[in-house]
Amino acid sequence: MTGHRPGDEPHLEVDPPDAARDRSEPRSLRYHDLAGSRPIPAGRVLVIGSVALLLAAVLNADGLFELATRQPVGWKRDVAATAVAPFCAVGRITHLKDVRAEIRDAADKEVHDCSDGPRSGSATFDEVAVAPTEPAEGPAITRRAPTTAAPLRMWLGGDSMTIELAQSVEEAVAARPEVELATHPQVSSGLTRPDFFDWPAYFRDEVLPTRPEAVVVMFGANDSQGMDIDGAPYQPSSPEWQAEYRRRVGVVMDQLRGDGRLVLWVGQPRMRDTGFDQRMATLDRIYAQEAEDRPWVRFLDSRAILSPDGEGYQATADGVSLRQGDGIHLDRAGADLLAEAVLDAVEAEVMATSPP
Amino acid sequence: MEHGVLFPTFEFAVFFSVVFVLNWLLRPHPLAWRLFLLGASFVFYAAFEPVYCLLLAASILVNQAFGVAIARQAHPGRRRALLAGAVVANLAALGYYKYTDFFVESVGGALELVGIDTGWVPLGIVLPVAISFFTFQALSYVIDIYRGHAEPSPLLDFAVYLSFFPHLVAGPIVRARELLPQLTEHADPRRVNAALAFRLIMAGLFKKVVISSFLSAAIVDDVFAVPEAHRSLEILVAVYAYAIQIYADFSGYTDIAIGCALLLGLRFPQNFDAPYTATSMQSFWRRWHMTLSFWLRDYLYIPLGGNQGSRQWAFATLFLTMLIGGFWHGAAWTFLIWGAIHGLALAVERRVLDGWAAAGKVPGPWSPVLRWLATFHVVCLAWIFFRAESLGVAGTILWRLVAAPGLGEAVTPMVLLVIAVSIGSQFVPTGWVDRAQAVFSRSAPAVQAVALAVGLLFVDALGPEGVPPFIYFQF
Repeated sequence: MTGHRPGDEPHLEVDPPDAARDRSEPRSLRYHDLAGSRPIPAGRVLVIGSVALLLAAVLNADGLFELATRQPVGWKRDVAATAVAPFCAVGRITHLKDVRAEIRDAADKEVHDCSDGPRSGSATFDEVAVAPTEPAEGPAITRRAPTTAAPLRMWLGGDSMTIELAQSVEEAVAARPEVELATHPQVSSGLTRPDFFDWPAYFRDEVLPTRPEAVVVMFGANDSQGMDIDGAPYQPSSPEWQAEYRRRVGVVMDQLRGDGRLVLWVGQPRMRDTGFDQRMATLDRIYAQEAEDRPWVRFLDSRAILSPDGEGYQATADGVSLRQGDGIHLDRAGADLLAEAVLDAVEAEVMATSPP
Repeated sequence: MEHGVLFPTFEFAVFFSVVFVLNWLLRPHPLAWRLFLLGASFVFYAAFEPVYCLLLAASILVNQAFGVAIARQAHPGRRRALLAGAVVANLAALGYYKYTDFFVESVGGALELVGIDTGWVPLGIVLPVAISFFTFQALSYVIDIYRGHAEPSPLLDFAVYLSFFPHLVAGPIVRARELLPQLTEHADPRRVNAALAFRLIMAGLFKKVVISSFLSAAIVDDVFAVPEAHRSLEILVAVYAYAIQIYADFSGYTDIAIGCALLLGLRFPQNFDAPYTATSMQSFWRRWHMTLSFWLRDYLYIPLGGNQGSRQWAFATLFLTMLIGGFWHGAAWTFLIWGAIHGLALAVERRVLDGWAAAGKVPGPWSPVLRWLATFHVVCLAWIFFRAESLGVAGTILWRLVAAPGLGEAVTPMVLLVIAVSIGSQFVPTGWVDRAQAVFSRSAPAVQAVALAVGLLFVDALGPEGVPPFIYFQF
């Protein structure tokens, strides 16, 4: 960047060497000297800037489209998607938007072609849905004593509530070679918006092939929002929404079922905002009820764990902060408490105290 | 930060385009132009949290009242009392929002250790964005009036200056006497220094959206979250990566701020000047967040008598100034230690250099290289405390740097390349960049537009999903 000589005191009022300069002007502003550049009229700046933004919108049509479809389900998202459509069309016809796809390919990043139209994503729930089967003979969850040579394969993930939780669990098992942990916290994700992040597909392609013996999930913090059901938007207060959400929870629980695998479903804790807290309580009830019918699923109620002193939302305990300033996310001390409960549950369910 | 309109967003591009057009249309009409800028800035601030606007408005009115009162008062004792009132009022507001909970936790914890249960509970006060910045700016206005360096401005001018949206949430800390005279100057709409503005905005976007996000996701966040799970080489590279990340993030943001203001015809002071080329701690602080370091020098170090009195006193005030600078960044022991490391390093450096000068020592040919290495590593050591969530995490990082030999998986060629190129780019001579900028400014408008669009293409294509949070908002 443009510099001044080392040792200069930019804020000291020293007479600049340039006599044409206003004597009272602070030297800190001197680096705005044109340095050979040509100043241009504001009107031309506007034209250059507007053309650049419009051209960038065509080049980045896929990115803009992704931004638009990330809006909450409803009219805003529709308007945003409609606004992006012309840029997408121009980008497709001129192939200008292919450059971004190439760059992202090279950088190993995902590309969503805006020509494909909005994704609903809910199809995956239907694809992975399995017909309910009679529970097999024997225990639903297999217990064994893991060793360093044959460690317990544990997977943990979910929405952004699991960022700190994953860190705390990771820290807790860092010195335990008999536990092999994989994690995937995904910000802004859940079961309502598979168009943004498709959890069933992720479980199918990335998690289940690793044959985890314990799967710990936490969803819900982003789920209390409009949902696209068969192309129509529904809000969380409607019975259609509730029925569909319940179905999706069940589908994921069934999908994660495996040969003696534990599925530990962590509920959402109390939230500072009353309305948000009530919406999370509704989802917690759905998780608990769906888990009850499935012997391989255990529901872990995090509300008692993160409000140790009683009923309501609790920001601190014993002088340490349990929750972040937003009244939603966990602070590390809160995450440590929850991690302890998660590991206790996993140990109680899948770890035999003595080798078989 | 979930809310508010951050610079690298679609919403800000729309907001700024509208502001740009109206700014130049209204510029010939002083009153309308000022009212418009004030309104736009309050709209921008309200997007974070509408209630904050009351705080900003209160700061404007209170500081203007103090400024005018000091200017009218001839009696030295009363002037001093008014100044003290202004400083206390500003610091009390800042202190309430920023330090109450830290105080409650620290004092309560200390008393608990000696067996006194206070039962104090932190209040969970939410720190309003921008308060750290506008408090320092308001103080510069009042103190300059007290010192006779400036006259009080009309209330509307002062309001525009304090609330001006490009510098509002994260600096640079623009002083009253830097910006206020510009409001009364005639700005020529036919001579906008667009080339520098575009360069700052594009470089800022690339640094903030691409470099900073890449390094935090690739290595920094994981290592600083759970250092127990990482080996020493990984930790070392993560510390280097964080040094680059915070530079890219913060200088990127202030570059965009300076560029946006310039497009509106207003010049901000420079905030960063290739800080990682520094070969001494003093030089580092003349290149890193300059608007803060010079503010601390002029309004804290010098009033404390740092440049007078004994050498011991000079070292003590230097140390104290950096300690307070650290605490300004956040109410946590980690920030205090960060400030203490810098204060100590500056004092030790000054003593050593004075000693060498007195002994007539001549620097050897390798001296700049060794000094650069030493400076960079002292800065990185301090960054560990700046980034760590707690002293425990910082301790673990330092311990595992030596006690956990191994390579680890997070160190990829790409991470190393980005760090190396980022440091190397700071050594590019200013003249080269100026020449490139001059070539750009003389090319056809269509060429300029295409160049900017291609820049935006790379920022978007290489950037993360969504807008990453901005490190410096918490300060």
